[in-house]
Amino acid sequence: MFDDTIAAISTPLAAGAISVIRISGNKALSIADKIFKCDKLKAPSDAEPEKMYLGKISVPNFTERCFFVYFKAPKSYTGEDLVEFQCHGGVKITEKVLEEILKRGAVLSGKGEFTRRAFINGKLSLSDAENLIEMINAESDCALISASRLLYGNFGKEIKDFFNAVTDLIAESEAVLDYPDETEDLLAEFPSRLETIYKRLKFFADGIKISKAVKNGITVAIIGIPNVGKSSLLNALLNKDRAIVSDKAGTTRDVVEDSFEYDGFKINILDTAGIRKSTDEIEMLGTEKAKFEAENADLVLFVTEADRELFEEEKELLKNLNSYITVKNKSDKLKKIPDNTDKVIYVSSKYNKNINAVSEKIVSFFRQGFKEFGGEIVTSLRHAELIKESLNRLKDCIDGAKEGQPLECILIDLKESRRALGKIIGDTADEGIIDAIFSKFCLGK
Amino acid sequence: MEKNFDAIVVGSGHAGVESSLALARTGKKTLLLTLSLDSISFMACNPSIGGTAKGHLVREIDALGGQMGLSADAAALQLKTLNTGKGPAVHSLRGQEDKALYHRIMKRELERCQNLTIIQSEAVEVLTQNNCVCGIKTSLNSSFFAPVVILTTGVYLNSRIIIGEYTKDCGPNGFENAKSLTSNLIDLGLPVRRFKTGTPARVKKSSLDFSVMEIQYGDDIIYPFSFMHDCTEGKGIPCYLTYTNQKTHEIILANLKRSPLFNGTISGTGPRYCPSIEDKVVRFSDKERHQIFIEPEGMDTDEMYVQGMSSSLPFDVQEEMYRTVKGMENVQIMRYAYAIEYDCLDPLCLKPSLETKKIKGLFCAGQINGSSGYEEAAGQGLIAGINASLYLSGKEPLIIGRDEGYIGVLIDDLVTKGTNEPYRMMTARAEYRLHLRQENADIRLTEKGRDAGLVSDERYSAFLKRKEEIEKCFSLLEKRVPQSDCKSFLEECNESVPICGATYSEILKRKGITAAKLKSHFNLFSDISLRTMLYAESEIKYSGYLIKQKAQIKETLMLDKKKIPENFDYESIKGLRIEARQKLCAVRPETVGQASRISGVSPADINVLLVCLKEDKNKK
Repeated sequence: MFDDTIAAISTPLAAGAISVIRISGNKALSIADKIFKCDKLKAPSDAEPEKMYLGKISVPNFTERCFFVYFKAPKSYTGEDLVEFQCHGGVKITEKVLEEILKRGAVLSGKGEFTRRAFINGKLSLSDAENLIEMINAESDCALISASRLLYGNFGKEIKDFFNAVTDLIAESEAVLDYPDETEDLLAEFPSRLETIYKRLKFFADGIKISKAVKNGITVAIIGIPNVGKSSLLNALLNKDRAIVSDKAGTTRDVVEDSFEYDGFKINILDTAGIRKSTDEIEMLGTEKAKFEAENADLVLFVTEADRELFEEEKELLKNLNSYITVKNKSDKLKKIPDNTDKVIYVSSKYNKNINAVSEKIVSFFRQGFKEFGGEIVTSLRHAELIKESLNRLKDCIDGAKEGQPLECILIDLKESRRALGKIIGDTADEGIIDAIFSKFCLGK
Repeated sequence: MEKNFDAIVVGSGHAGVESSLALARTGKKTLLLTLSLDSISFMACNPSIGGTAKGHLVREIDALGGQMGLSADAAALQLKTLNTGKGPAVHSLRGQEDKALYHRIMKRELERCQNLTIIQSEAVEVLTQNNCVCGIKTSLNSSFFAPVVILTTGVYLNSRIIIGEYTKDCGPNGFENAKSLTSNLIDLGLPVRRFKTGTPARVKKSSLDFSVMEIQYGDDIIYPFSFMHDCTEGKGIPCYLTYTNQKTHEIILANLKRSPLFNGTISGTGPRYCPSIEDKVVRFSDKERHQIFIEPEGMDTDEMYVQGMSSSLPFDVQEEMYRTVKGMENVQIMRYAYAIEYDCLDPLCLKPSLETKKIKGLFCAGQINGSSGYEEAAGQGLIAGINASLYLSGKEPLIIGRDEGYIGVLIDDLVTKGTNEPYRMMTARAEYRLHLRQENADIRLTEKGRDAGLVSDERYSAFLKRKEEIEKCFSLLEKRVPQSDCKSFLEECNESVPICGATYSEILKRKGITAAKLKSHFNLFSDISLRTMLYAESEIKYSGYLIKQKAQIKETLMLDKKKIPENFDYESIKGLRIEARQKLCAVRPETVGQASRISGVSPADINVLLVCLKEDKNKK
């Protein structure tokens, strides 16, 4: 019934024991085939329905052990072929897996989409219909509010500019196709204008990594060698006893994750195992995970002790970190506490001293990043996906132009590119192109 | 006199003629009422048929068994394919036509047609009973009865022509207009509105200096409009190209206060794609000159049509400004340019079959539906005629999908989105443009025309032969080119030679290789017509993009297949936004696909609709 295959993280996007990712649609199994490996199966498509298999998901840079279950249509929640992955909890890991699934051909599901499909395919009772309508509208109202907010924010303005630039280019090309007598010279600059729009949008898209953090939260990883007080810093920031704290080095074995709000920003904070050379298999795994989180976090809090110089292994560790703030813990051991600098903060987790300065630093670090775009970027994975889609289609246009494809073919991709941008700003009416043709050109007999 | 018919067609313009022929040829006893027998298929504006997107429409009309293509071929003064510099999907045939001849051919065709009665008489009232149409009353106070009526009133409803300060209540070219029907349509509850269009002057050929203009011939060899006609030769009668200049523009600007467009005399909405010269000069003041094409109106006349200079300025200003154009210094105007205002309907009152939603059996086609152009009118006329005939036989209407033809795009746009100006077809309006080519119109539509009963045995067997030929052509194209031949041919074409050889289809995919080149070089294709070779070339050159579009079409079709019950109660759906509910109530789309194309209906609304349709069905 539905042509595309949808995917989403079905559990709340926060720390938990497990996260569930669902894929529904006729491509669900073939996508699973591409990313999931299991000793008991040649491929997921050989799986027995409703049976759980343990295996590995391979995503660039890491593999994740997880469970796989296949529900065969129509005996599934949505009534379609449905695949479920149950991974370890954790925002980053789950998002990476989802991204990989999207790359393999699924589209990100809108809120309520699974339920909607379930209803349309006759899987839910009639009384569910009303709830479903409410849900669809809530989602679209929410999108509407965010869309109208977008229009006033710089992000919306930027997208609107790109949208208009693409529209103009389409309109001019269409004018050339429909009014060959009058418009021959209009398209001399077509390839270079295409290239310019592409480059600008690419630059813009690259800046979006920061803005995603605003919507989904800023992910901050606490990194350091064992026993410098990482877990106590986590507890202090969260203002609760989230992680077990002890004097024993290596207490934290796995990643502990939680989130808190500061000044309107959601901060997802990850406490990791202390990094050191070890022969203990579990500790080594913990070290690996810590390094992975450090690489994928938006910002790293590098924790060390205030009363000493950095050890060699700490200096080694720092070499591999991109953006980080140094937190010198146990400042209570110093007689005189030095002033904080741009990159270094002195705290005492134990006595709850200067903890807010850390939060303040995290947020200000990101505010700097936003200034470039006027400080008001609100975006989501959906927007990022759409911009990516728009970019990919523009790339197809450029390639098509280079191959000497005819204009009417290149326009197919250019219109898809425009459509993706239009979905962000809530404008897809095609009459826009026709209007642009006549407002720009003097055409007709 | 016979008073009872199966169907009555009001109006004998490009729409009315196709409607009448479609009804009569499918065996329905038909009456054609016209204000004047001399205005049958009258080309009131430019002396040409076809052009970008419009050429596609003519080929589609022909494939379905309509008349326009056959007559346009017979009356052509020159034929030319536009856009040959671009890909085959936007190639469009355009014919300069002999107006008088075109009229005579069409009139003759109607006169010879069985089951068809033609009477010169003005329709003043649509007779109805319980919201069903039952006949037409004429100004002679005589009534004719039929369960089906098609209105194709063109620009004749309450029309008024305007030349500067001068206005006159009449139809185009001084023909009588229809004064009473509008008020009757309002009484019937149909939404009436006022549109405007215009035409340039006709000038005397011998008063022009062609030596300073650019001469433009037709193509040397060309496939005419109709699939029943073979490839023809001949340059034809030429057209001429010249330009306006600063002086022209100064005169126009100095006289703007006398222009009815700018001083408020004209209230109707005009088309943006067909602006008057004063409109062009005002809106595009930075443009130094505008193109003017001088086109012949016929073989037996010295009248020439001045394309690009339509105007409603006073006649003395017209004379002054025409004379500033290079080669027109001594121009003698034979008929002055004029603007024309007329009543028409908001097409949202129509179903995709072109039947009105309000009155059963009443169909409308052509300019009354807010369109403009001969080809747009003919396309609608044909579909209205076919659907009226199917209606009389108790069969489902013929709805051409947006993926099947420009006619489908045209009608869907009109009845779904409505229009705020006279609607002109453009290839930009067709989202599946690569599929809707003029060279494959027969492949797309002949079967449908056959099912509707309009495609003759002769046409159908020619079609089956062509399909066979296409199949044969593709199998030949999959053969490998003999190594030595391949090398010499590609070198001759300045193309690189593949080391492992290639199939014919692989070399035809290259940009520099055309079907014509391939056919003339290799004897293998001697039995295959160039027309079929051209079809194969498009399919091969576009193949990658065609696959992309097919995926999109599939998506759209899914929603288009989901029917909405005729009396579906939108008011009872709580989840719909007010705007969407109002729009849906106004348009009353027949399918979810149609609903999704209404402006102001969001994807969320469509989801709500899908849920409610499901619920509705479950209840039953």
